[in-house]
Amino acid sequence: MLGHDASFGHIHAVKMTHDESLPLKRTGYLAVALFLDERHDLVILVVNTIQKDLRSDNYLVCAALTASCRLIGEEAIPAVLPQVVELLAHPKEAVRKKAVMALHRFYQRSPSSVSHLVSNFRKRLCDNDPGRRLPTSYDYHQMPAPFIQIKLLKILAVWVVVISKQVDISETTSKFLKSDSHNLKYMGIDALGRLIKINPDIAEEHQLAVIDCLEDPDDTLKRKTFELLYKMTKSTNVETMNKVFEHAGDLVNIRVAHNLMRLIAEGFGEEDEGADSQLRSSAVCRLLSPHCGGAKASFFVSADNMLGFGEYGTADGNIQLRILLGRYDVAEAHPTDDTVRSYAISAI
Amino acid sequence: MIHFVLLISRQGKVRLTKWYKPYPQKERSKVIKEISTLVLSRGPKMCNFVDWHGYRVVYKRYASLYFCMCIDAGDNELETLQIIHHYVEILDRYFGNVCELDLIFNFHKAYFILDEVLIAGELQESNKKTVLRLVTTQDSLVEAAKEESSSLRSIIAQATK
Repeated sequence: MLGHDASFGHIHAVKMTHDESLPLKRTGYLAVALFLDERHDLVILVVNTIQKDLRSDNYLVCAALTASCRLIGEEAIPAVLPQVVELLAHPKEAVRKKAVMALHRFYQRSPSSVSHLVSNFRKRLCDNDPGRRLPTSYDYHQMPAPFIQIKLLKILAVWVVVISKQVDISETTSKFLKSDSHNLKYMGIDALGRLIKINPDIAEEHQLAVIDCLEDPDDTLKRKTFELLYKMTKSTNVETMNKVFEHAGDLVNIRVAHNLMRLIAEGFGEEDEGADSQLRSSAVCRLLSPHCGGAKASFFVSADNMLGFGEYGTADGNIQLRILLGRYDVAEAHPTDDTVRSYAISAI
Repeated sequence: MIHFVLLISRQGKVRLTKWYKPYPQKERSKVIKEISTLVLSRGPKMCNFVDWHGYRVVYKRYASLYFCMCIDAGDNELETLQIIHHYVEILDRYFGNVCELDLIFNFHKAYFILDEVLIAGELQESNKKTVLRLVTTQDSLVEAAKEESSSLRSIIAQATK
């Protein structure tokens, strides 16, 4: 509870749910939902109360349903299921909605117990009452605020991949990428990533914007851009991509370079081995130079992985490894010492 | 789905936590610590989404409070931002110009409202008026029950004297 251990209070909370008076009961349910989860032993005591409350007259039913979403584990589902199903037909819309959610949650826990209700669900979905819609079918196109229009365009971009219509999407994504807001840039990169699958050329137009994102101080944006570049590598020229990677390798962030090495290792797996190894060795040399201190060990581990992965049997490969080990000895002793050495040895 | 909701103050104090998946106590404190350091160290101009352990944490800062929600990697991040804003607007309308103190002294009400907005890690109600109506109805029911019980008690107390 707010970071402090409150286990002494758990049993009191359970007792409160048994209480007749409404405020105590509500607080009890709240506390129980916060403290316990379906694996806790005390839940058994609460299940009976939930059953009783699910049959009760007033809004309490809602509290019970909310609690049951949290607390009912696989074994307890049969105990509560019949009442919840009954509640699907409750006159109050809010109760019906919670019943649907509770059933959805039960389904996540144990598909078999709820499968016979699926046809029932379908009928409900077709019903007019908008309050009963399952969350997956939430239609965000109905959101009122105007500034959401841009977000709608983004969501449309996602849907477009499904419907495969490309008409205004490149315009929208370029708008996103040029925008000042980091969030929108992120969404632009995300949209590009999805669009790559249907139209590989589309990224060429936005290359500049993508490079800008690479140089952004924001961690998340950089990682997203790398994922995009990785997706692009599969379909575009290796040399151009490598130039991009080298350019990116000059950036200071070490963790980002770690991701980068991984991407190179995976991305270049398909390409021609000869030209490939040349490029990789040059990339590795360029990338090794600016780095210093910090997460060096993990970086080397990943570099070793990459080299081992590329089956570096050549002389070039051995020189690489020696350089790596040389640098490594200069650095301080590190706990992952042995791991790196073993990787190096196995790579040889 | 949303895995958990976390409200952290600028100083790193936890104001509200709601877990939609079973997390043992130790793991909860670990998660809170990690997310706090992750989110509090972000600059003002950075993305509102952070990758974390295969999930994504969407956060938004309102004055001195950070509202964080952890979602699956495949979920729509802007949607989650919108959910956070939706919750904050409801809180604002309920408390009238809400501030962190309101959430400190009325944390139980904040939880009740959150339970009406999110259930089992999904958005439950996207209409602010409906949520407010439900919560105020529940409040009045509770008030009525309190009054009733206190009056009965006084009657019984008198009767047994």
